[in-house]
Amino acid sequence: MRIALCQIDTILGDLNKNLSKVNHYIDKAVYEKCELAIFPELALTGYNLRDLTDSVGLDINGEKIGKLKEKSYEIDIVLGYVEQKDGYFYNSAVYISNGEILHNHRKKFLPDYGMFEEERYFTRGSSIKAFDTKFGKTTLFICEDSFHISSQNDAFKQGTNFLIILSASPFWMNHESIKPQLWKSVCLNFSQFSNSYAAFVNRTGFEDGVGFFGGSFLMNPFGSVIDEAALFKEEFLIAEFDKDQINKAKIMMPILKNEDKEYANE
Amino acid sequence: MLMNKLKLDCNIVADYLIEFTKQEILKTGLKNAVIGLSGGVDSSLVAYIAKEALGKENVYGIMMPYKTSSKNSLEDAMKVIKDTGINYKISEITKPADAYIAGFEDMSNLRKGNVFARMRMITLFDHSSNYNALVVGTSNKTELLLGYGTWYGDLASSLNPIGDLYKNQIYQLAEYFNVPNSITNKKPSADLWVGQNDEDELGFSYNDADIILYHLYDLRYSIDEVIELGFRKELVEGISERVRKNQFKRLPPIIAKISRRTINIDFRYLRDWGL
Repeated sequence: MRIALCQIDTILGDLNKNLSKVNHYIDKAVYEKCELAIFPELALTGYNLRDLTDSVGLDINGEKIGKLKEKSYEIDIVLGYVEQKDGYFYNSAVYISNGEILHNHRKKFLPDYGMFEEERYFTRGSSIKAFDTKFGKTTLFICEDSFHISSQNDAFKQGTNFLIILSASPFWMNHESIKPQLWKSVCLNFSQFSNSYAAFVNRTGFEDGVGFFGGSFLMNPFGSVIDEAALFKEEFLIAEFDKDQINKAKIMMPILKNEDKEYANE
Repeated sequence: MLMNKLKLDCNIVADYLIEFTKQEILKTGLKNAVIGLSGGVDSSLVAYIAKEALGKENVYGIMMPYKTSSKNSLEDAMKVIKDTGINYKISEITKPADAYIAGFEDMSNLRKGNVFARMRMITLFDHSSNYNALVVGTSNKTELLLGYGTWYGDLASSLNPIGDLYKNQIYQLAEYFNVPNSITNKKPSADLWVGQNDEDELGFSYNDADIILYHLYDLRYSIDEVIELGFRKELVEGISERVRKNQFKRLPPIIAKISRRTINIDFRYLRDWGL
């Protein structure tokens, strides 16, 4: 199964321009016979919205998401957007397939330290839930969700075998670490111990000097990076998802099987 | 040993800064850059980055000597021009600066230095308008933190690729880009008056300043912890005090809040709004 990792740049606060770019890449993914196109966190709006937040919020039942639903008869779509609900705003991600929203995930952990101000503008999501897709048990994380062991535990306990991480991860480095490496280690642990694929789709582009580094990748259930996009540049990357690898990994290292029964997958 | 903490992965950082310069200019609808070339390592490095980002035909190196400026400075700047192939122009500031200075008796070196820096700022921004370009800044993190620059003078620009790099890191990247040796080997100088030398004027070496600043601000060490690394108390306290006193130079002017939404207080948008 072919998956398109759409590592795009966005235009800050311009829904229509971002939507037309997203549509362009969805069409390309359909043409390339992909079964899923994944876009980054806040792909329809840009990241550091500050006071633009309330002008780019979308109703999940509204027209713009509706048009994406129509497209989803041809290909599954995952993307990040600002969700507006009852006057509050969420940093959300949807999984759309066959004209339906299979899952809407609201970012649960909103960073508010260092350069981050998400908790100021967004309302927290309340849960991490795995759901069924053609790829198996799928879980969506949005960026910071991944750094909480509790999220990984939630995904693990629910038998996730395809973790999709949508990200707007800014570049930094110092003598101790370099940001892209951090994402590899997050996924490496999860993939190996949960027998799960992990797709990390990070945006590119700059917002007032803050550079989102890209470097999107698909990791297999053994912890190997199958394919990886460039740093700092927009890229359309196709990677192969092979369901058989999940069962092979389970035979070699069936970690979830030996959890308490209440945790184990039905 | 301590300096090793400032070691850069030059491959990645160079790529990053080239993309920064390219994207943050192109998204404004412009494609050209204007850089004040002094012949020093900072502006030379920026010229190499801008050339890679925009192509040599879209970069303008402007040299703005004053009559007392060192000849070597101009020669070194010309080496950068020749090596990168970017456009150049020499626009002397002697006449306009002297015309202004003539209105005062006994103007101090500091005031004159600020006048020169601001005359150059006028020149650069005027050229940027003429060439449909943005002014690319050349202040490094060490100078920005120490406040060793002129507010609305050399600190003025539209974007700055090297403002998060300490002086030592500037040299690492300069080596990576093969900036000519005569530039990387000479003592850093603002060249605002004859014989000026940054490290003499500051009273400490850039290496010491870099290590102290890196530990104080990047790693959040306390002053006492930095002293324990082996630095004099007066030096660490003096540097920390300089950083505090110069915070204003790193910000736009403060505004008296009256309304419910005051610019930059609770009217909060990025420059890249809609870009």
